[in-house]
Amino acid sequence: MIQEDRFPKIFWNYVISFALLVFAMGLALCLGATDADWEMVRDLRLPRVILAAGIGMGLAVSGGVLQVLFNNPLCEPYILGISSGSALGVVIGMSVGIHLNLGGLVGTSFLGALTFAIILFWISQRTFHLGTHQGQTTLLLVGVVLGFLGNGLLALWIALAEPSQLQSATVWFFGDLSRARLSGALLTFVGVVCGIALIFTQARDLDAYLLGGSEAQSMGVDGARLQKIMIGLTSVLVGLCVSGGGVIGFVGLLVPHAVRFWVGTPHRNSLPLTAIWGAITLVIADLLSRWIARPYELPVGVITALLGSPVLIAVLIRRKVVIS
Amino acid sequence: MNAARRLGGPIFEIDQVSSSLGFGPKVGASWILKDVSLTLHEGELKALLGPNGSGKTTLLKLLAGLITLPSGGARNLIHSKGRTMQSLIPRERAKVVTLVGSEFYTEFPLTVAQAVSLGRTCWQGAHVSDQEAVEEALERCLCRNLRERDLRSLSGGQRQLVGLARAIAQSPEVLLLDESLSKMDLDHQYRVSEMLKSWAQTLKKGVLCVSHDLSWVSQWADSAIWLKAGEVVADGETSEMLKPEILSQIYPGLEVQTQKKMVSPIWCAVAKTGERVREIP
Repeated sequence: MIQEDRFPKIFWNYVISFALLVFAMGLALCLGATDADWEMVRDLRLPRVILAAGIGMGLAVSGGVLQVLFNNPLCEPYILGISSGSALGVVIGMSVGIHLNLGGLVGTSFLGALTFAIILFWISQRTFHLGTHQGQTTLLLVGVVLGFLGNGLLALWIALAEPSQLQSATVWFFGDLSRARLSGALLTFVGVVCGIALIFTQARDLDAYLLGGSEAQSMGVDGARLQKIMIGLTSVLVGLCVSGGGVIGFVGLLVPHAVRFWVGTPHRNSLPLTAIWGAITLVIADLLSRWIARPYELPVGVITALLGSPVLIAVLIRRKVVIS
Repeated sequence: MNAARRLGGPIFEIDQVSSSLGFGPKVGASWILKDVSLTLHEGELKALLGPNGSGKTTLLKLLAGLITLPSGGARNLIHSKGRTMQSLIPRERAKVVTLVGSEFYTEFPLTVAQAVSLGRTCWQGAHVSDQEAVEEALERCLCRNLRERDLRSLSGGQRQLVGLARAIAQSPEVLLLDESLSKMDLDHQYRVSEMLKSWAQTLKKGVLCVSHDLSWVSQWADSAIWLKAGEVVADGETSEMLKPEILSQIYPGLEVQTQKKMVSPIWCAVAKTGERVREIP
C-alpha cells in the first residue's frame, strides 16, 4: 500500500517501457544473420522473439521475488542453482523415458525447479539462527553447491548420452532460443504472464517482506503462506523458462536491481516494470547473440552473463558500503 | 497508588504461558518460559526485565504471534479484551498487537515514508486514514524530516525511530518493544519515551518494553516484571521492583547501588564487596 504521489511520472515510465519493448521486438524481427522473407520471419523469428520476451519476464520477476523472499539482493534462479535443478529435472525425465511433449517438458522442468527451491528454503530456515549476514552467505554458498551438483549431473548425462541427443546438450548449460516453435513459445509467454499476475496479487505482502520475515509477520502477513505461494510460483516461472530456453543466467539479477534503482522497490510498480524490462533485456540479448558473430550464433546465456556479471559485482561492492 | 488510578481496565492478559521451544540447538527438557502470567492495562507502560537469556524476547515473540505455542500446550492462554489471540488470523492479530525489534533494516531501496506506510498493511482499504496515520506516526516519532531518505542511509538510532513509527502507524492496541530505544541518543530517547507515554495514556493503549536500562525504567515505566530463567520472579510497581532486595535476588553476584544525587535516581552495578576479581599472575 505504498503511496505514490507521482502518478504522471510513473505513467510515463510505463509508456516508455512499453514503447521500448515494442521497438525491441520489432527490431528483433527485422534484423538477423541473413535477409529474410516473410515466411522466415513468421516461422523462425516470431516464435523466437515471443519466447525471448516470455523467458525474460519470467526470469526477471522470479529473480526479484527470490531476492525479497530470502531477503538477499544477490539471489537469482541461476545463482541459486534453481535453473540447474530445473534442467536436471528435464534430463532425468528424458533418461527415465518420460515422453517429452510440451506438457512433459514443462512438468519435469517445474518439478526440478521446485525440488531445488524447497531444498534452498529448508536450508535458509535451518540457518536462520545464524543471523542475517551469515545466513545470507550460507544460502548463496548452498545455491552455488546446488548449481555445481546440477551441472555435474548434467555433464554425467551428456557423457552417457547417445550422439543423437548431444545436439541439445549445450542448451542446458548456456541457454538456446533457436529451437523455438510458435506453440511452445506462446505457452511459455502466456504461462509466464499468468504466473506474474498471480504474484502481483500478493504485492502488498511482498512489500511488507522487504523488512524481513519477522517484521512482516508483526505487520500481519502470514509469512508461512506467502513463502509457500512464492516458492511455488517462482518454481512454475523457472520451470516454464528453462523448458522453453534452457539455463539463462543473470537476467534475474540485472533487471530487478535496475528497476528498483529507477522507480523504487514497492511492488505495485516495480513488479510490472521488472517484467517489461526483463522482456526487453532478453529480446535484445537474443538479437545480439544472433547479430554479433553472424552468420554464426552465440548462446544467449553468454550475452546475459557478459551484461549481468558486472552488475553482480556492483551490487556486492555497494552493499558492503551500505552495511559498514 | 496513583499509578494504579491512572490505568484503565486490562487490555492484554497472559495466563500461565509455558514454552519449551528452542532455536538452533535443542534446549532439552528445560523450559524457556514456565507458567508466565502477566496483565497489561490500558494506558500502562510496563517494563519487562531480566538477565540475558531469561526468555524476554521469546515471550514477546509469543505474544506477537511470531512463534506459536507447542501443540501440546495449545490452550487459550493469551487474551485481549475477550478475544483469544491464538484464534485470530495474522491480519486481525496485527491490529491488536505488534512487535518492534531493535533492528529495522532492508536490503532494498525504500524511503522512510514508504517503510512507515508498510505498517498499514493490515488495514487494507481505507486509504485516506492510511495516509493520515502515516503522517501522524512520522510526526510522533520525530522522523518527518527523514521521510524521503533511503532507509539504508540512516544511522542505527534513526532506523529505530522509523521502526517505531512503523508500529505507531499500525495503531495496535498493544505495542511490544524489544530494546527498541537502545541506540537512540539522550534527547531522542527522552522525547520518544514521553511520546510513548502520552500515546498510551490518551489513546488507552498498552506498552510492554524490554530494557536493561534501570534508570530509564525508573523514569518511565508504570510497572515492571522480572523474569529469570523463564519464570516470573516479581511483578509490581516500578519503585517496588527496583528495590535492592529484589535486585540482589536477580543478580546475586552484584550489588546494585542507587545514587540519588541526580534529578532522577541512577542504578549502577558494582562488584560485591569481598568478592574480588581474581588477579592474573
